[in-house]
Amino acid sequence: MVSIVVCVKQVPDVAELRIDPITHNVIREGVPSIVNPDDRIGVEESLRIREKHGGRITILSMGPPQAKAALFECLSMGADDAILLSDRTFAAADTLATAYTLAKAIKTFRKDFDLIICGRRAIDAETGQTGIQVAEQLDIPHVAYAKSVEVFPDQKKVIVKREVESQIETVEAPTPILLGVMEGLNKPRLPTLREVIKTKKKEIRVVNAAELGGDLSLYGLKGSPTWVSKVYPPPPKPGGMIKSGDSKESVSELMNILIEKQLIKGSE
Amino acid sequence: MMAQAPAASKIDDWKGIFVYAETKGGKPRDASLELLAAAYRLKELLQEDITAVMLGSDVSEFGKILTAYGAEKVIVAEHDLLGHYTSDAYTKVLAKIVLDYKPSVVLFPATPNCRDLASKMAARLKTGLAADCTDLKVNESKQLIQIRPDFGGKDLSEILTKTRPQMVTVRPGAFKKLEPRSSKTKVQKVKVELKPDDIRTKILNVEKARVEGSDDLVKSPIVASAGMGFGSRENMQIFEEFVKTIGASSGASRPVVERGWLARDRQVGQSGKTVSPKLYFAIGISGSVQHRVGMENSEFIVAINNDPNAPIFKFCNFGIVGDLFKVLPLITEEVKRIKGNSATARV
Repeated sequence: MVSIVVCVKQVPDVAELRIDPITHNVIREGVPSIVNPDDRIGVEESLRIREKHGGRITILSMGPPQAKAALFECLSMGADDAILLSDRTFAAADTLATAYTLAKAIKTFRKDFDLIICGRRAIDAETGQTGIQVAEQLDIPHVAYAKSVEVFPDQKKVIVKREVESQIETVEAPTPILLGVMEGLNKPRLPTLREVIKTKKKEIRVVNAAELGGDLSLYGLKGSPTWVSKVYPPPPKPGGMIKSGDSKESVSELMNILIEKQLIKGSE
Repeated sequence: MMAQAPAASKIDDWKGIFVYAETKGGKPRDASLELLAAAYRLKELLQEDITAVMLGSDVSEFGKILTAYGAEKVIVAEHDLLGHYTSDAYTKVLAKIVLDYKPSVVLFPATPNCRDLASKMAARLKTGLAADCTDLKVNESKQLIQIRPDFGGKDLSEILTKTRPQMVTVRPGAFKKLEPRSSKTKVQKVKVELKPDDIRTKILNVEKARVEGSDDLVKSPIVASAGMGFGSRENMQIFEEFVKTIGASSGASRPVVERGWLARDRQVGQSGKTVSPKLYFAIGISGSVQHRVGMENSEFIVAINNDPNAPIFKFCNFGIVGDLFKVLPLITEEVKRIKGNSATARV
């Protein structure tokens, strides 16, 4: 029996984001929300561990009420239950405040956990920090960039292969532990109709700040040591030369520049 | 929203710019040396000194490399248990150094292990960490402005940190390392207290990852990537000929690998590889944000596309609007001519 918490985030489908051609701002309206891809890999891994060893999978997320949709999807993949931390107090949290909130929830609702699984990074902010900071706040070890996971419930340990810059480390560590998982670990399953129907009976527990308790000043924007002071579209790269006339001329001009800049070598 | 800065006196206790110098094979790696250039720029604005910090089992002789590239002081922490990176040991040792010296800024290269280390460090020190920044500035209150792309590069955000130290991971390639100069090495060794039990994750084995044949892609000085403009797998022949002639590694946009025209490990972009060669060709690639984030740090970008409104033309250095089936063979011929000359010259 393995008690697993999988942290997931609902994110906008970045591939669908478009830029307003006039203001150059990101258009967020109408962009579909999805379960962050690396987190889906985490959910899948938890299901495989449960299939092998038995156990219970809790999906944990922090976000607005509409993030329920993401939790619903994880439940229909086969997770047992789900908790959504949702409150205006939690809003605008940076990674440290988010990690504090998630860690507080884990301590409060699943303090018997063996494994916490997080995706390597979310595709919207791409920090890759939150999972590791959850582990630190819970004072447990973590292994990031996991490419394969083996759990030994009787020996209370895991053996994980982590891949970093074309090196593979095999790491042994005691549970409870947090694992950061990434692409290539598995291929997440699609929810089956049977699971979707079953899921309708499962409940998503929504928890607000008052119920979670803890130090309210450590949540959300207030608890965040960093804040975003400005957001703007990236400036166009200056100095680009665009040729649309005769191809032969364009090509010979290009070759001259490449030779001049020594980007390709001519006669030596 | 105003920053809720801690009491001024507290912030003033933190002074100096720390560069965490990650090593590879014992030596500081390029991404670390680039940070010294970033630190050098901050030094002018902050009037604070640059200290490089290096951890490892046997690294102090390389301290001079760090001073050559801009460090004014080098702190080295050596211990047998630091021979291989572990989150526990490195965090313990580095956190102690940072708390002892109280720098206002700590820069890390945004490499996988440093992102791991910086995340844990920030949580332990209860301070802010800006991830994967591409530029750094200083505002009039001498706060570090940490600039990073969001939403796969569609937006840039400026991030400020209320607490100290202001920690940031910096994307490799975002700064260019300085020209090395001769310098006096001032390496200060600090005492390291570490025991095996401090490390909860035990490394059983380290092996080289099976190279999927795409290792060349991130290292090659010339990368040429194919996009949907080629229209079909059969049409890729002129691409292959070009790649062979110019001696490039071949890359591709996501739709191209999804259709199987090139192998999946060739994908350049957000869900693929990040490359920064000296010369990058985007051929028949419109230049979506997903692709852009994987190649925009290339030194010189050449784009060929028949759509004059393709986004790629907004961030390339040289763009040719035209039919790639006409333009590309012309370039191949020209390269052959140039290389042919050089081959004869060598003989």
